[in-house]
Amino acid sequence: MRRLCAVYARDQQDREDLFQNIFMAIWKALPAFRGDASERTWVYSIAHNTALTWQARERRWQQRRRGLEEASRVVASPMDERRMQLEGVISHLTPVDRELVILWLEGFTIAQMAEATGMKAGTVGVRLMRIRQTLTQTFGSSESKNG
Amino acid sequence: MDDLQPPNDLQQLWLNRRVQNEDTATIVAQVLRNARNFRARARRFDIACVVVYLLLLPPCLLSIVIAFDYYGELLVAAGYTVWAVTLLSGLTAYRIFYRSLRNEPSPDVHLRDYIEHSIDYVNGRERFTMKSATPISALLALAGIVFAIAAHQGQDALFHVIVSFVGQPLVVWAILDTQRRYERKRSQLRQILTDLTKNP
Repeated sequence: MRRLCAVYARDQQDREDLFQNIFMAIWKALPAFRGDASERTWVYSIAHNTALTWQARERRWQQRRRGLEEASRVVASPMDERRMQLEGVISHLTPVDRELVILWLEGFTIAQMAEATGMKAGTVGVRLMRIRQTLTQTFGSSESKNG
Repeated sequence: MDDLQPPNDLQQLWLNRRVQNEDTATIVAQVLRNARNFRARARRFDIACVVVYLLLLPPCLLSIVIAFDYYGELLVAAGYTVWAVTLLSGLTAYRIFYRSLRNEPSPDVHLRDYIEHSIDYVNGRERFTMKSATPISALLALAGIVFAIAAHQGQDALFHVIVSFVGQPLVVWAILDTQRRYERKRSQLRQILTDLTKNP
């Protein structure tokens, strides 16, 4: 959840706010959980949907604070810098691709991703290949080519 | 297709994000506190609405009676009646609108369903806003006309004419602004839905 919040909200306070919103949404939805999907898929669906609504609502507020946040950001290590770059790339994807790539990096299967988004498995696969290409171009990773 | 794995180094980078040790009890307590605050705020708002009703009704009725009985100004009394109806119906509409905030689409469905429900929700809210604000705008215009005729007949209603004819365009502006915001939101949601349904 923290990793997901880091993509949707760039500022520590916003992340905390989003994290609590997600927690609350899960808590409210808990009585309706029927077990049709796995708990993990269910929780991630709620988290993504909540984050999407939260981001649309908070966009103006975020824009106002971004300048301040950029100035105060401290890069702790090259690893952190690279991770922030990855989070930056993911946050600039379309909402659908963003959800897919986060689920993908979290280790979800294509079937689970299809379940979480309501897309066909084939479509998910094609989109992931395209996303992988984008990531490979951005990060130039040797391993990415093997992926 | 199921063996399509993410690049190992990127997955490691993603999963290795340092997360501070968190006290789960503190987080849960904070969430519960926020939920309680939200519920308390909603309850306070409900009570405030009823109190405002009770406070507004007597002066509304009194101003009509005074205008009619004391000053014998029939048209001013009629204008006050229209104002009273506008005020109370506006308050009722706002209260219903505020309460309906609790019926937001539930996020525990897949993305496509959620976006579709969200579009329906935005449409519903827009319909409600239009249905309730349009008569209010018309009522204010009517009050303005009634007060204008009263002023023309020499009754003391100039201030009322100004208030009505300033308030009416403000309501129209608020309707148009709300419509613009809903349209923007709807177009964002439709964009996501199109992205979801298109063939890559």
